[in-house]
Amino acid sequence: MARMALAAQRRLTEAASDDPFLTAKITTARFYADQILPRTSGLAAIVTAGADSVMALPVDGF
Amino acid sequence: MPTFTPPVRDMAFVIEEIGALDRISTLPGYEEATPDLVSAVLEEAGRFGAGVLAPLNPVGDREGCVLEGDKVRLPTGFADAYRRFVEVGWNAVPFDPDFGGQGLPWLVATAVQEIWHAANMSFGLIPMLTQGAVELLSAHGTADQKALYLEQLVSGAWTGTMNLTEPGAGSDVGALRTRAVRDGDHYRITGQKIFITAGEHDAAENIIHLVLARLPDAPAGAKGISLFVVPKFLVNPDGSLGKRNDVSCIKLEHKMGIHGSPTCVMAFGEDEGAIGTLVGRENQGLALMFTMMNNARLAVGLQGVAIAERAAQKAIAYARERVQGIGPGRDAPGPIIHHPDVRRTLMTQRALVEAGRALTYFTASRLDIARHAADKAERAAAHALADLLIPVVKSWGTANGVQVADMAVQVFGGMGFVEETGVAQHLRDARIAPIYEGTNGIQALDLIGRKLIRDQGEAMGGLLAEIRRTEADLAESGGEGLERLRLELAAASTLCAETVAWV
Ligand SMILES: Cc1cc2nc3c(=O)[nH]c(=O)nc-3n(C[C@H](O)[C@H](O)[C@H](O)COP(=O)(O)OP(=O)(O)OC[C@H]3O[C@@H](n4cnc5c(N)ncnc54)[C@H](O)[C@@H]3O)c2cc1C
Repeated sequence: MARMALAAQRRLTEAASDDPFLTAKITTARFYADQILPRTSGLAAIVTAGADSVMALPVDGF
Repeated sequence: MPTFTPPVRDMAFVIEEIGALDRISTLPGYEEATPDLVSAVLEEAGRFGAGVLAPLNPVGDREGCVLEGDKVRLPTGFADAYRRFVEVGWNAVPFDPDFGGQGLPWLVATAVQEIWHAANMSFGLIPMLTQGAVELLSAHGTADQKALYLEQLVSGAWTGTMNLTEPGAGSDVGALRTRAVRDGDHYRITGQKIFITAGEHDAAENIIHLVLARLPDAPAGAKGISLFVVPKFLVNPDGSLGKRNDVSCIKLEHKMGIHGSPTCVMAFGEDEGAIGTLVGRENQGLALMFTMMNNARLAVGLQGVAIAERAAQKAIAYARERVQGIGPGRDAPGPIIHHPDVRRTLMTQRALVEAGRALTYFTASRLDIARHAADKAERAAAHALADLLIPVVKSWGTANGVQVADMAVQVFGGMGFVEETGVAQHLRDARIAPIYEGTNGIQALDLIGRKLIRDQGEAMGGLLAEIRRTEADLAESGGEGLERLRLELAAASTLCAETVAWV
């Protein structure tokens, strides 16, 4: 997303335009950074918590 | 409400900026892939997808496929559409010109396929399976096998299938029991395969099955599997069709989605044994399958992106139209697109679609470089990066396909749950993609076991270095709003590095 935003910005500057297609790429990338990328911190915590509690309940316990 | 508007400008943007078309079109054989040609191809594909395939999508969902005797009838219009698809040459886009292909890069073929899946995922599965057969035979077929099958598969006159799964062998392919016995210059195949996509249908005059089976003296497990070509109609040396082979569809599955795609139980060798010829060497079957695995998994991840695009388009159109309640700062009831929660949903859909498309096309461009670059080190690096990203493209793309289609149903409210609006079909169709071509759980094992631990994080290190370069570019560009992007990206990449180190 960041690379698309960079490319969009380069194209906007080169053409000295305000093409809404290109500005939307930047807006969408910012949304991604604010609203989706932070999911990674929750996911990283889950991964590094390890598997102990995942496998703790014995099969007979289900 | 427009049914489907192929996002050709978005696609061309990603092909040029993320897939680095200017680099890909310097690869030997790909010189013709200029931005103008690519745009023209996407426009034409878009017209075919929107005009011919999309209108058949709800028909396929409603009618499904019908088994009559041992023949399968596709939904109304599918067989005709397929014949037109072949006539126009769409099936041949990525393949070798020596066998009648058009020789376009996978980067471009991937965008073209996105259009088929978005328009009609059930239809898109037919060329997707044929593609796997073409790749296997191109890479490992004997001269005879290539001469007999390749041209017809490249054009799409004949279609292909992949026969791996059996009742006792799904994720654990090594458990399969279908038998192959030597019989002169060929083999006799006996056994049952299940869940075979396009195993039988009425759109092509012949079907070429690629079948995994076990020789009587084969070692147990995954090391004892061989790969065979088993045509529905045997092919004479002059290319004409001969006798019907001993293979048939004995049942169709009744499914949650992709009703337009026949999912077949296939019986091999109910009588004298189906005639097949060996591909590669005996007991090498699974290793050979790996040569087409990257492209097949990429294609399934792409289905997730495609369905997400289609569902998101419907959600936007509905959100503009449906009047309900007064949005913040407004003084009269208006369309639901003014409600922040609906806007958040539409933005999330858009962001996931665009990110998924970028990652998928980027990975396709690495496959092109891995195959065609002149420099060996460049090929190896691209290969390692593609190998690393494939399980991510497959699992993340398909999970997002389900999530975005689910969000589209939510935007429609009660009308989303009612079949008449057609949005529910996308959710039902999308749900298969996290399951087939290696479940997403199996993708996770591949990512951690093969792609991170076995190569000791080398490919991942390369990817993280590229992300760091993007962070530097963001810092340098100094554009407003990009700074926040850089901070979030830096935080995420640091976390990623720490998590990989923990693994
Ligand atoms: C519509 C449709 C079309 C298909 N088309 C084809 C086709 O054309 N050709 C073909 O050969 N097959 C095809 N398949 C089969 C498909 O690839 C399999 O269903 C899939 O590989 C899963 O196998 P399974 O169904 O036996 O599930 P199982 O292997 O029984 O898996 C059940 C669950 O257990 C999990 N699991 C299993 N093993 C492990 C493990 N080692 N570690 C962690 N989790 C595990 C899985 O992730 C899954 O959640 C198709 C299936 C469908 C439904």
